[in-house]
This record gives sequence, structure tokens and C-alpha cells, in this order.
Amino acid sequence: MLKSLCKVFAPSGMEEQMREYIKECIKDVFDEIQADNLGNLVARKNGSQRSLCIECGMDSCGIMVTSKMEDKAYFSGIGGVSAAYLNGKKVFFKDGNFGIIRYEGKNAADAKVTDLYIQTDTKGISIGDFGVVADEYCENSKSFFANGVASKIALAAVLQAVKTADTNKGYTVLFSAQRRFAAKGIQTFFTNEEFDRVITVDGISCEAGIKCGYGCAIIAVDSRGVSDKGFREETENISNDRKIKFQTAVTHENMCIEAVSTSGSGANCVALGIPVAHKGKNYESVLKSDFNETVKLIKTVIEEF
Amino acid sequence: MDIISVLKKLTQDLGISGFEDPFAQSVCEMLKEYCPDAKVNKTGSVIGTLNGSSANKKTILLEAHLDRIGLVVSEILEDGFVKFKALGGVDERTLPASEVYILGKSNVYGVIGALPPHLKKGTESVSELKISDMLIDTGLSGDKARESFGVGDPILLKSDFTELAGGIVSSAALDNRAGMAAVLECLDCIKDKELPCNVKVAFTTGEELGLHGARTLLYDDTPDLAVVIDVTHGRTPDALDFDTFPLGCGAIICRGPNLHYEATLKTISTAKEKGIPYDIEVAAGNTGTNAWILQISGKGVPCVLVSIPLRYMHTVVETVDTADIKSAGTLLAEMILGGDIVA
Repeated sequence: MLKSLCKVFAPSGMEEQMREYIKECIKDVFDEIQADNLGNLVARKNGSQRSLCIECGMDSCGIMVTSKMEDKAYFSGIGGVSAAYLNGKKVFFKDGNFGIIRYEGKNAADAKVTDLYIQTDTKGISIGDFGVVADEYCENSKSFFANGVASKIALAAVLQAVKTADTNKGYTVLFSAQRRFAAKGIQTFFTNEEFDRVITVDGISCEAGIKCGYGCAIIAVDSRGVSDKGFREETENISNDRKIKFQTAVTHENMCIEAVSTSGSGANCVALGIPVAHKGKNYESVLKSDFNETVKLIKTVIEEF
Repeated sequence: MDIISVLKKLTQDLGISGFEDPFAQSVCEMLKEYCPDAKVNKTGSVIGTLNGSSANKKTILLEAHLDRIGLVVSEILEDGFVKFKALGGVDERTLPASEVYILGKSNVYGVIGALPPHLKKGTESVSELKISDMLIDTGLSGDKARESFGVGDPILLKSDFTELAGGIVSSAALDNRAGMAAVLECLDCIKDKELPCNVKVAFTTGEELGLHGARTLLYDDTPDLAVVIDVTHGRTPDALDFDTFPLGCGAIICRGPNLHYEATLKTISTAKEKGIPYDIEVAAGNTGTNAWILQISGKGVPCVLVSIPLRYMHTVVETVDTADIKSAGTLLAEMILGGDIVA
């Protein structure tokens, strides 16, 4: 599934292809699947009354063409694009056009996005066109590798969990649009919908305190908010009971706790992070064991809470 | 109201940003003396209405944030030392040699240490310590530490409430327990009076993390005017005059585009007419307070900002003059009793 997800063109603000892919993937699981005005895809399962929402992003970081000259297209980043790792990368556009990112300076590590350009046939490209940077997807017995795995791995985990969860209880899943672009999909959705409990899922970079191979990271504090302590402890306790491997973590990254918990009248939110090695660099990687533990945890939340 | 007793009680309670729950419950009980309907909402903020409300009257909201800055455990090292991060804008320069309590299964005492200058290598800066260079030493081994607390547990910076000379007091968390005390002082002044408007009170969470409590506060119910009560910078000999205020100068009324023009002028004229000490602060942009978010909540809310001068912001020795709290509380009461502040 992850291999297929990595092929879907879904930069922030242009998620149509991903919406269609997800709809097809979950059509037998949910009673109602609808897109809202901003492009969020909302899937609801009917069942006994409870107020639980699982959220993950469906977009990925990308680029947008800002100007062009002869065979060069200049661009800006959408979401957290790191210029230092773009030199020599292949960029795909929606209609199948592609180009190669070039840097004329000596040290690519010092490059800013404005120093880079895309070498391409500019006749087929318009200013404002979206593009995504992609490595070839690959995997071995232990890990998945690709550019942008961090943004797709959470989606893969949620899709796998909802397809295998066994429950009669109702719940909602938000596949949010423009998550990489100021969490816009999250903010508009939770302003209009109220839930008692929300779990958000995303890839998170391995840094001090967050380690690959130690299971899903249950985020206590991110760069902009604090997970609800009581809900977090319940999640930790149930993980312990089910022998699901997890690590409690504090991170400097924005896991969208603030966007969820302060939209509308507010919601109790806990963020889950799937550890990603080399996040933002060439060939991000995720250990399969961490992915599997996260799927188990999401599934347990759906079945038990 | 005995402002010093109230401040002492408020500053001894916890309420670290993101972990306000027990403190919010105790504030709720305190507020019930004035607002019997006081409750804690979904995001942990305490809200109540003074003496009920009438549909025929306009509504003023008095808002002060109840959270305080703190730290959080980010990693427990093998040998028991604790790495930590800030919750809110902690003044990192003041952290080395501080005493802390890690609020885990039990409260564990610790001290913040860093590599002594003697052991620094030639190229490392001795003067610029960052939070990532510091560790908490509890004396516990790694295993014992992990039994006692965990990653994500909040850390309280230890501080004592101290009375200095001339009604000046010093403690951690006076930002914004001083503002809360001003609101309570106001409620005490008006509790038995016939009021020309409805008065709602909100003590909000998460201000130090990004105005979180205020973001959700007005989702259900929008007042006609919000008066935000917070602290501003008190003057010291090394500070610039134009953006600091001497302790004891009174309530500070802020002017700027974040605030409602007419309501702010009315607040100034109320202070003048009633002989309440005040000074004027100018904020050309973001006031850095909950007024920033309340102004654009719902369909938009006119805001007034009243502040209390405070020295040594975001340290464990924040210092205020209780006379300024009294002035701010009295000003709030007169604004409400005047009745014409709400457009």
C-alpha cells in the first residue's frame, strides 16, 4: 500500500488524486465518505454513540512554479521543503511532465530554494503549476525508503488500521487536506465538528529522545501544544496492556496538537508519531516494526476507546 | 480583599501551561464565590457569570490567563540525568542553578546544572548557555528516575512568595496570577451592586504556549466587549523608558490596533475621572496577550487591555507592586459600574 501511496500525486492544495485513491481503498469500511469544501476527506462509520476521530494528512510537501525562463523554471516550496537536499532531484508535475532540480553554486548544503531552478521543457509548464519531488520507492526486510515517506507513512498506517479494525462502535476518520500547509484542513474541520477525543498521526523525525525501533511515539508535547494528559495516559496504559511497543516523547516538531485542540470549542487530542530516520533528506526511511506497532495502536484505539 | 493573601495562594498553586487541570479546578472553586455557575470548559479554562445574566443587557468579559511557564521532561538518560524543554518563553539565562520539582508519580526534587566553565573547550562559549546544554540532576539512577517520572511530565521551577518593601512582592507565576488577582479584586468591589451590564469572567489556559485557551473561549458565546488583564514590563535602571513602566504607577492601559479605539479612550477617561493611577502603553502590532486572538474570535470582539507592570518577566522572581493590582481591579470595577463602556 505504501508503494502505491508514494506514487499518488498529492502536493498540499492539490489532493484530488489522493482523495480518489483513499475513497476506493476504504469504500467497504465506512458508511459515509465525503469531501468537504477545503478538500478534506471525511469517513464516518455508524455505530454505538461515541465521539472519536482519527486524523492523518493526505497531502505531501511539494513545489510551485513561480517564474520561467528558457529551459529553467523557478519555484517555491509548499510545506517543509529542505533546499539542501533538492539538488539533482527529479520533479514530477501533474500531467506527467518532469524536470531536474539544479544548483549552480559550489555547496548545495548552503542552497536556498530561491537559488535553485528546475531544468525542464518549460513549454509544458505554467506559472502556478504544482510539482512533487520523488525518489524511487524501495524496501528491504526491515525498512521502507522513499522521499516523502514521512508524510505517507501515517496515511498508510491509518488505512491499514481501519481496514483491519474489528468494531461495532462508530467513529470518524479525517484525511486532512493541506496539513503540510499550516494545517488548514484540520482547522476548518474541527471548527465545525466536535469530538471528545482526537488522535492525530504523522511521521516524526528521530531526534534526541525519539528512536527508531522503539515503536510508535506517543507525543506528550510538540512545538506548539500539549497532548491531553489524561487521554495520553489512557493510550499508554492500553498500549502496555496489549504489549504494544511505544515511546513517550517530547518533540520540537509541530504534530498539529494545537490545530486540533484549539479549533472550534476545542478537543482532547493525543498525537502519535511514526519514527522516520533522515526526515527531510534523501530517501527518508521507516522501520517496518515501528510501522506495525503504530498500526496495532491505532487499531486498539478504534476497537477499545 | 487582601491582595497579598490571594496572590500567595495563587502563586503557590501549579497550573503549568498544558497541565493546568488541578489548578483550574481550585480556581473554579474560588470563582464560585462570585459566579455560582463557574465551570471548567473542554480546554481547561474556567468560566463563570457574575450574579447570573440578563438578555436585555450587554455583556463584558473579564479575561486573564491562569497558566504559568514551566519545563517538561524530554529525555531520561541512562545515568538518571534529565533533559528538558521549555513550556512557554522561559528566560533560559536564569535556569542554571535553579531548583525544580519534577511532577511525576510523586514530586521529585532536582537541580539544574551545566558543564562548569573550567571544563569548556576553547571554542565553546562560556556565556551563552542554551537549554539543550543543561540537565536536571535528581540524584536518582536511570532506573529509579524512570520509576518516578516519565518523558512528558511537567517540571515546576521552585520559587517562594516573598514580600519585599513597600507592598512589592516577588514570586514565580505573577505572570499572570497578578492579573487574576486584579479580576478577583474587581469582582469583590462589584459583587453586591446593581450592574448595568452582564459580567462574564474567564481564566484561560495555554496562553504561554500560544493563546490556546482564548482561541476556543468565544466559540459558543461572544461578549460585547472583552477586557484582557495581563502583565507588562516593569522598569529597571537598565531598561528603556518607552516600553517599560515603574512599579507603583498604576494600571497600564494599552493603545493600538489590536484594541478597540473608543472603548480604550473610555477606559482612560474612567481612570482619569475616578482618580485611579494609570499610564498608557502603545502596541503598534501584536500585544502578545490574549487580546490578539479574542479580537478576531467569532464575529469579532472589541477588546481593551489593562496590564500590571512586572519586573523580571518569565523568571522565578517576577516582581509586582500590589498597589498596581489594586488600581487595575478598581479600574475594571469602575468601567463596569459606569455602564457606557460597551458600545
